[in-house]
Amino acid sequence: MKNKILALVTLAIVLVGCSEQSYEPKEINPETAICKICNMSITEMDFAGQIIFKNGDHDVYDDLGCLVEYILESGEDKIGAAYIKDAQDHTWIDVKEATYVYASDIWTPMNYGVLAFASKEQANQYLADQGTGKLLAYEDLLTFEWGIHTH
Amino acid sequence: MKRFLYLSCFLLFLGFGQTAFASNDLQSLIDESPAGATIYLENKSYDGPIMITKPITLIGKEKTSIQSESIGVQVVEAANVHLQSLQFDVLKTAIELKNVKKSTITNVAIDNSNEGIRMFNAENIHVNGIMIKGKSGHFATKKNGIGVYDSRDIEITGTNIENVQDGLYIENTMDIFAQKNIIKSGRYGIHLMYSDDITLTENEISKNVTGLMVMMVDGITITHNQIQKQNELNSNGLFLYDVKNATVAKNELAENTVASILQNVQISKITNNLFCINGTAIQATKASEVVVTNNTFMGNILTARSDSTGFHLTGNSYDDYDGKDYDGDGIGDTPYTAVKSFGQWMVRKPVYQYFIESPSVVMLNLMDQQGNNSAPVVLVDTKPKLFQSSIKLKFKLHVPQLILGLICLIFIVVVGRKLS
Repeated sequence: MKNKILALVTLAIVLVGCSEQSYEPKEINPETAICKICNMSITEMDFAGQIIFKNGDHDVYDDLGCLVEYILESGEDKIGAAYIKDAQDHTWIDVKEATYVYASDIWTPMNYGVLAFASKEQANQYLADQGTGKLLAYEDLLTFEWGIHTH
Repeated sequence: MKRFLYLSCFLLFLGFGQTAFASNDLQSLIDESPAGATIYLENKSYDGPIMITKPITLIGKEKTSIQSESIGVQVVEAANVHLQSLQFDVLKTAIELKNVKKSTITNVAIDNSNEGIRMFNAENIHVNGIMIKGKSGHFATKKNGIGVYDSRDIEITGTNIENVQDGLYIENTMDIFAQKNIIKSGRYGIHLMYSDDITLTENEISKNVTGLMVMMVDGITITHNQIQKQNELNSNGLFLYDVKNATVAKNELAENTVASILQNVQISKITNNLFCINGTAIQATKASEVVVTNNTFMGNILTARSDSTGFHLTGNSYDDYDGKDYDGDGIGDTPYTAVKSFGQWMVRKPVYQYFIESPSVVMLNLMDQQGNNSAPVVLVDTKPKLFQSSIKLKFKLHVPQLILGLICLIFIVVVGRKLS
């Protein structure tokens, strides 16, 4: 009997250890949430971002630019997943899977002027509708000159 | 004959109705007035929205109000527009200026609007004596008291703003002067972004999440302000983020969770301020070019904390400095170390404050001082001034509390005598 229990416990531990850890986005509380980088309150939820760390912690950001600044400063080693709000339906999308549009007259909380879209088609459609702007991929964000634009 | 009489009466009353309506039509009155005219409004309510596109002066009386379900007054492509002594009862924005120059807004009261005043591409605008009281509710659901965008030469004085998102929100604007404004109970008292050449003086900022939020600014002078009671979770009095050439002088920063946060600040000076009864007085990262000198630190839990680069701390006065001045020059003979291990922990875990003067914590602080004396570290003031215990704080007499205290005292004396 003891051996069976021991085997079951061991199996459970092994299964838990082998299971793939998921990093789901978390709810942001506007009453208390502040941006990890610029300290601004997260009042504009439609532009918010968040990072879920591998240890289960998470940080929130008021603007995509702040989220990218954190990644540039601290690296990606400890990051499980990073999410940004879709500019159209305001759902969370993985920053690495999103397509981005920059235009100097796009308003965001930090005025960095970059919006995220779930697909390239949606981003292109937005560009066509606005008639101005520039398409960016996640890799472009890492060399983008954040915060120097005037509006 | 009767029919004629009835018809005459009907037309007569119809005529009276049109006259009353015309007197309430402020838009027609403005449209019919020549450029540069002054219109004196009556003590009554006018319907908005009102559009102004030429030089004009509107002067109201004590109870002149403008009502609207959208914008109250919109001024577009005009100069020399002056709005004076008006009350607004509007749902959205009370006053909006677009491409407006050399204009003034004075003695205006805005109550329960979603947004007070906003201006775009405005130049040489003076806003004075404005009362803005926002709706109740969380600041995330509200807009700003006064918003200024892409403008220059803006003067905002003597306003009283409460219960809005940001009291003053100023974005991409040059040459701003804000004086004697009282701003409380919002997200940020004054929020500056991408703006240059700013003077904030003699303002009273209290009970906001952040008192002054200064972001991406080059050239700002902050003097003689009272920045108090930003003491909720994540609150702070003054936040400088990505700022160059700031001078913060002669301010009183009291009862804030963190009095001032400096993040990526270059070539700036913090001098002659009083940091009083704050959780942390100065918290800094990437601020190695900041000079903090001639300030007084009194009753703060933690004087300063920073990243490894620190900032220049010199010639300040600290109430917890226990050094001696044997040569009598007013400067302590031993350095003051602002870093305290326990203080750092307490910032991270506020409940630790219950152990603040316990013997073990006192011992830890002494060890910090001794350890830091023998090694070069950041946040060490080598010329600390001896603390002046005679610093005068503003004394306010609370009459109700005084009366209540006296009644309690008399009651205790009377009961005490009867029992003895």
